Amino acid sequence: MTNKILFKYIDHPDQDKIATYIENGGYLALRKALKEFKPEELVELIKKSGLRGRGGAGFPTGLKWSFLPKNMNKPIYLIINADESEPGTFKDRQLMEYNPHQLLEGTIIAAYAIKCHLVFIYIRGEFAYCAQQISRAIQEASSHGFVGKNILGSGFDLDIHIYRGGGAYICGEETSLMESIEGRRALSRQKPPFPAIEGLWACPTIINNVETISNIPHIINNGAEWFASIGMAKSVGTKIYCLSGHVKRPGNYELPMGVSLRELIYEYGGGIIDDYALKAVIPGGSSVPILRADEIDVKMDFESLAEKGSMLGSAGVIVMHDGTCMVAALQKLVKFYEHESCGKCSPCREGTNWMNKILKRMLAGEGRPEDVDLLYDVASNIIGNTVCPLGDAAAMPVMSFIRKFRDEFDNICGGGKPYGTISFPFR
Amino acid sequence: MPDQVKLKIEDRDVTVDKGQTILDAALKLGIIVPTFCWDPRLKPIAACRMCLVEVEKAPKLVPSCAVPAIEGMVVKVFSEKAIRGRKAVLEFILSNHPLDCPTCDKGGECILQDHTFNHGPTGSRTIEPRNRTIFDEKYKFDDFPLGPVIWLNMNRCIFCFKCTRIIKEIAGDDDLGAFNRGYHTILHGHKNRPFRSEFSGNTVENCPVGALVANSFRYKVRSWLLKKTPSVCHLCGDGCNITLWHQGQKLFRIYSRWNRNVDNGLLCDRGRFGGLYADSDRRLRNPKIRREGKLIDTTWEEALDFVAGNLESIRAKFTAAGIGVIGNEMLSNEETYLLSRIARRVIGTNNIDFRFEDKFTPSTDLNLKLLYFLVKRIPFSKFGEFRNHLIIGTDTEVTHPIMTLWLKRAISSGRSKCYAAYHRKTDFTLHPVESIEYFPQGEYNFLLALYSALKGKSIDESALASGVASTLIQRWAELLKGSKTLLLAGEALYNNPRGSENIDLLKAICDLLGEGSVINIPYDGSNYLGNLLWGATPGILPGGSQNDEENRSIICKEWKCDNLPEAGGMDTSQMLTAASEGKMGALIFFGSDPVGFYPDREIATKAVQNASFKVACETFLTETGKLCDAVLPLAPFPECSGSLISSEGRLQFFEKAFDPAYSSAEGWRIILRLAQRLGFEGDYSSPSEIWSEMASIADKCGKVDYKQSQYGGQFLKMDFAARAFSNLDGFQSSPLPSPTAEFPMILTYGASVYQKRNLTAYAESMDKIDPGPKLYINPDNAAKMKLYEGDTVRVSSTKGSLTMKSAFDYRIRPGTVFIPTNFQEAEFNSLLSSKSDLTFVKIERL
Amino acid sequence: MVSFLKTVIKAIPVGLSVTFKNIFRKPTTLEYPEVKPDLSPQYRGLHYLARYDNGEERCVCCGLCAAACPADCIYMEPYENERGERKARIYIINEIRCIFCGYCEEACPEEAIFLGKEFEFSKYEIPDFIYSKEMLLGNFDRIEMERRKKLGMEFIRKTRFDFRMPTPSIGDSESSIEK
Repeated sequence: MTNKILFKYIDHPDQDKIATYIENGGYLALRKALKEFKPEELVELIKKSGLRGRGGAGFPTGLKWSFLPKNMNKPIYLIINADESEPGTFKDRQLMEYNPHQLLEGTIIAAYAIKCHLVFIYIRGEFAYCAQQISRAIQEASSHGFVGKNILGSGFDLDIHIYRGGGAYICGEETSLMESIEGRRALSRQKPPFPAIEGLWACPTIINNVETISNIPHIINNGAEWFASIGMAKSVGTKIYCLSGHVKRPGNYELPMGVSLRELIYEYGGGIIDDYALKAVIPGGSSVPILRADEIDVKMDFESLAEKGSMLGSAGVIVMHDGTCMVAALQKLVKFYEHESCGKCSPCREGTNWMNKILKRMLAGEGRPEDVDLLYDVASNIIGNTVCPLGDAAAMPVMSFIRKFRDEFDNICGGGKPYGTISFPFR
Repeated sequence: MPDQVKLKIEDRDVTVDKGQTILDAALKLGIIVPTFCWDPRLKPIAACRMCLVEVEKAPKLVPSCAVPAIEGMVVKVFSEKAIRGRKAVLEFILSNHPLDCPTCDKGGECILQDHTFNHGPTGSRTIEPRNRTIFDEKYKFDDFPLGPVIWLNMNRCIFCFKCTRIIKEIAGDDDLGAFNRGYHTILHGHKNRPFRSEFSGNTVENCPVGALVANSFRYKVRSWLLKKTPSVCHLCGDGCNITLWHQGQKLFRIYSRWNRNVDNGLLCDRGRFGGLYADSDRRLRNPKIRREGKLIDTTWEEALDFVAGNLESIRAKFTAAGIGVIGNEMLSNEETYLLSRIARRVIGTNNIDFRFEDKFTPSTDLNLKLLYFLVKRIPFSKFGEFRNHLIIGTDTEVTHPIMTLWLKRAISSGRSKCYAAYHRKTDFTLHPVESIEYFPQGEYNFLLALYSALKGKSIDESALASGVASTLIQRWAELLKGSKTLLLAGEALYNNPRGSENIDLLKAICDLLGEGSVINIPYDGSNYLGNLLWGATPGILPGGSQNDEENRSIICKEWKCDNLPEAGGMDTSQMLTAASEGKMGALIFFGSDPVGFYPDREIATKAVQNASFKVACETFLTETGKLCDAVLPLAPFPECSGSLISSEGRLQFFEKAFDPAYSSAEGWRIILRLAQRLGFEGDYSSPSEIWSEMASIADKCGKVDYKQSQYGGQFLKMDFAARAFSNLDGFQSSPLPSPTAEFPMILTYGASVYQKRNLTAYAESMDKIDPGPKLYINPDNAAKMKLYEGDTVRVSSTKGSLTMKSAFDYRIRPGTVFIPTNFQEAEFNSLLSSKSDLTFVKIERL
Repeated sequence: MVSFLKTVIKAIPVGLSVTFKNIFRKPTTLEYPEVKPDLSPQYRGLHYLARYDNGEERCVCCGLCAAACPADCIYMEPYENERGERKARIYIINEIRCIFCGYCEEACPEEAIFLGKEFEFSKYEIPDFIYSKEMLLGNFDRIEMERRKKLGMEFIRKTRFDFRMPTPSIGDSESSIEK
C-alpha cells in the first residue's frame, strides 16, 4: 500500500486543479522530457521500462510506438482510449476524475515521443463528469503553456481534442473507436492494416489506454530502471485492480503487479460478504475466462494468469459467492455481449444472440440435455472467426463457465432448479 | 519483380500484383472461395466471414477478401480447419434466416441457397423462432416498402452491407443507411425518409439474399422460368448493357450485363425500372386509320395501303419537298438508315430530322463541327486520367447517369476534380465539385467570360451578362489553367441560338487549357450519334458525310439510282413552321411526338392539323398520334434487333427477346413495307442484312471505321475533317433580355432524372418514383411569394397558363422555375413560343 | 390307334382337372365398376391441394412442383393477397399430361399438393382435364369430409375468414370415394 504511483495523490483535495498538481510535482516530467530527451530516446526509454498496455491485451507500449512508419509524409495521431466500458472495470474513470493532469502530462509526453501534433481523447459517452474534468484540465494546461503552440519553448505543437463516444462497448475496440471518430458507425475494421500503419483517416495512429499513459510521467521522473524494478519480471509496474462483486470492500486498489488473487480478495477486499464461501472469480473484466475458488492462489500478472488459462485483461476482478447461479450469471454476461455486438460480422452478431437464446431457454426450464454441448460448440465456433476481439470476449467466458461448472449446466438442462439465489454482482 | 508477390494456394504457385488480396489470387487460379459481402467494385469490409481461409503461421483463419497477399504466404482453402470455419459461419448466418424460400422472390438465384447447398451444414440446430426482435414495429412484419420501388424484408437480411456500400461508395449518396446495432440493425433511408435514389435498383440486383426485392418483380414469377436475352438500354446515351429477363412475350425485369468499359455492372433506375414500359398493356395494339373523323382499328395491309396511297397522291400534288419525315433519336442505326433511304431515294426529299424536343437544333455546319470532336473523344473508363473535368451546359446525372458514376469514381479516387456549370445546380453538385449557375441560356456569355479570363482580358461585362460573379470565373480560370482537362459539352451549348459561337469558344478554351485537353460531346439520346451518322438530318448523308454533289454520287452508286434530291431540306422547326402555314403536304412521325414535346405547342398542333396527310408510327398513342390520319404500332426495344451508337461512340448490337407483342411490328419492317408500296425494289429479311449494306456504304465514305475498334470491342474509330473555327476577336458579350414586371420568372424545362420523355411513365413502378408534374421553384423565391410546398399554382406566360402543384428545390437558380417535360398531361410546351429565346412566366398561388 | 385312344382318354381328365381346380378358386379379376379395386397405400391418383385447419390454402405458389414436374403439366401465377402473403392466383394442372409420378408431392415445401387415391375422373372433353385451383381444393375438401366422417369428427372449420365449401365442379360429382 505504500508505493502507490498513480493513486498517490488520489485522496489529495484539489489534485484535479493544476496549481495543486504542480505543487505535488506535476509537469516536471514534461519539462524534463522536452528538455533532455529526443523523441526517439523517449521511445527507447519506455521500451526499456517494460511498460505494457493496461487496456487488456498487455502489449508493450514502447514496442507499439516503434512500429510507426518512419519518414512518412502523413500526420501521426495519438488516441487516448478512455472508453472504459468493460463490465467490472472502473479504474480509468477515477484517474480522469481525480487526477486529469497526470493523464494530460502523459499524453503530451507520449505525443512528443511519437511526433504527433493532434491527440484525441475518446471518452465514453456516459462519463460526462470525466469529460468535464479533462476539458477543464486542458484549458488550464493550455493557459500554462503545456498545450498549444510551442510548448515550453521547445518548438513542439500539440492540440488535444476531446471526443465523446455515443456509449457503445464496441467503441473501446481500437478500430471501431477510429471509425467512430471518423464519424461513421462504430463497426470494427479488419486488421491488418494495423492502426500503427493505417489508422485514423488512413494515417498512422497510436491508441493507448488511460492508465498506460498515466504511468508515463512517473517513468520519466524516476527512470526506466525504477519502473522495471516494481512488480514481476515481465509484468512491471503497479496495476490498478478493480475489485467488485461479493466482497466486503469493493473498489480500486493500486498494487504492484503479481499480487496474489487470494490476498487481493481476502486482505484488501476484506473477504466475501456475509461470510459466504467463495465460488468463482473473474480475474480481468467480464471477457476473460473464469477461475474457480480453488484456483485463486495465482499471481495477478499477465503471465501467471495466462498459465492458469485466464487473462489479466483490464484487471476487473469480479467475485462471486457461493449463492450465485452460474447459468444466470453467464446469461447476464452473454446478454451484455449480444446487446453490444456491433453487428458487422456474422459469427459475433448471430452467435451472441443464439447463445443468449439458449441460456434464456435453460433458465426458463426448457433446456435440453444436448444444449450444453450446443452452447459450447457455438462459442467455440465464434472464437477466431470474428473481425474484432468482441466475439472472442463473448465466447471465452461461455466456454470457461461450461468447462468449470458443467454440473450446474447439466442440472438445469436436466430439469433441475437453478442453483443458488440467482444473484449476480452486476445487474 | 518488386510489384508482384508470389504465394502458394492449395499447393499451387500464383503470382499477383502487390496489394491484391488472397481472394484475387485464388480466383486467378480458378479456386472459388464462397463470399457474400465481397464485390470487386467495393472496398472489402470482411463482414460476412464466409471467405475464411487458413494461412500457415496465422493464429486464426483470415478473411481472404480483405487480407492482401504477402510474399511466401501458404494458403489452404480446403483444409479441414478452413472448411470447419466456413461451415460454422454459414450456420450462424442461417441460424436466423427465415425458411421462407418458397415465398421469397430470390429463391432459385439466391447466393445463400447456393452456399448452403455447397458448403453448409445439413441440419439445423436452432429451435428458436427465426425472426428478428427488432425495436421498430414496422420491421416486425415480413416485408414492407422501403421506398417507392423497393421492398425490404429485414428477417432475410444477412448484413453484407452491399446495399449501403453501393449507395455510399458508388452512387456517392447517403440515401440508405444501417441503423441500430448488432442483431437489431435495420436498413432505412436517412432522416426517416423512404429510400429513393437514382441508383436504388442496384441494391436489389446485388443483394445476395431476398432482403431487398423490387416492387415490379415481387410475387411475379420464379426466376428459373425466365429466359435471358442480352440487350442494350435505350433510355439514355450511355448504352448500358442489360439483360432482359422474360417469359413468353412478357418482360419481367432488367438486370445489368456487366460491361467493364461501359457500365461496370450498374444501372440507373430509369433503365432498370423505366425500361419495363415495353411490358405495359396500354400499348397500341393494332394499326389505326382515320375513317369519318375517328381512328379505328384495321389490318396492317389496309393501313399500309392507305398510307402509301395517300403519300403517292400528296407527292403528286405537293412535289416530294412537301413531305417531311421526323424520326427520333431512339431508332436503331438500321431503322435510321432505312428511314433516310426512303425519304431521300423513294420519296425524294431531304426533309428529314430526328430532333423534335429542341427549339434551336444545330445546323448542318454546326453538326459537322461537332462531329470533328468525336475523333479524339475519350471512353468513360479513361476519365480518371484527367486532372480536371469541366462540365458545361448539362446535368449529367439526368442525361447520362452512368457516365456520372464514372465521373464520381474519378473524383473519389482523389486524382480528379470536377467543375460544373449549368443554369441550375446539378444533382452532381452534391459531391465535392465546383459549381457555377449562370442565367438560363447564358452559356455564350459564360464561355466568353471564361475564355477572356484564360486570356487575361477583362471579363466584367460578359460575367455580368452571364449572371456569375467575375471573381468566381477568374478563380476557375486560375484553377483550370494548364491542367489536363476533359470538357464535357452539354446540349445547352449546341441546342442554342448561339450554338456555333459556343462551340468556337469551347474549342478555343480547350486549346488554352493544358496539354491533352479534350472535348467530349455527350449527346443526349440512345442513338443520337447513330442518327447523325446515318443520315437522319437534312445536311448529312448516310455514312456521315456532308450532303454535297460528290458525296451524293457515292451514295447514288450504292443505291443504284441516278440522282438524289439536291442539298437543302428542312429540319423539324422549319417543317413544323411550314406545315402550320399549310405549306406541307404530308408529315411522317416515326416515334416522334412534336405536339407533346416540341417547345411550342401551338405551332406543333397547327402543323399537324394543317398538313394534308400525317401518319404516326409509335408504341403508345401520343398527342401527335391522336391528330394523325393513320397510327401504326411500333414495337419497343425488347422486340426489335439492331444496333446503337452510344454517346461514347461505341457500337453495340442488341437482339430481340421475343416477337413483337399484339399486332405491333419492328420499325425497320414497317419502313420497308411502306417503302415497297411506294416503289422500292429492295428487300431485307433481317437487320443484319441492312447492316451489311450500311457497312459497305460506310466503307466508301470512310468517316467511321466500323471494322476497326480500339478496345472494348466496339469503340469506333472516327475520322472527320476539322472545320474552320471562327476568329474570336469580334465576339462581344450579349446581354440577355431580362424578365418584365408582369412576368418576373424565367421558365426552364427538361427531363427528370427517372424519366425518358413520357415512355417510362408507362412502366409499373414509375408513378411511385416520380409522381405527377410539379413546378420546381427555389425556396427563397417561394418564401418571397409566400408559397408552400404542395400548393397549387398557376403558371402563365404570354402564350398560356398551366395549373400544377409546386415543389421546392434548392438547386433551382433563384429567379427561375423548372418544369419537367415528362408528363403529357402537364402540356409544358403550351407556355413556350418558338419565336422567343427565353420564356418569362408569372406564378400565382391558387 | 390304340395308343391314340389311350392318349385321348388320358388327356381329357387331365385337361378338365385344371378347369375343375379353377372353378372353385377366388377370381383374380374384379367386377368393376360394381366392385372397386383395393388400392395400394402408395397409389397415386388425382391431385388435391390441401388447406390449413382454418381453411386457408397451403399453397404459396413457389413453383417447385412445376419445376420438378417432368411432364411440364403445372402452371401457376402468384399474387399478393390482402394480408400480404404470397398465394396462387392461377394454379393449373393438366391432368391429361400428368404422368402421376408424384414428384410434385415430393418437391412441395409447404405440404400443399398431394396425389390422392381417386382414379375415376374420365371426361368427354379434353379441356375438362385442366384442373383449376378451385377444383383441386375441392378435391381436398371432399377427401377431408370423408375422412372426418369416417373418424366421426364434425366437419367444422375454425374460420378466420369467410370460408365455404366450394361445390364440386368436377364432371361426375358422385365419385367413387364418396360411395
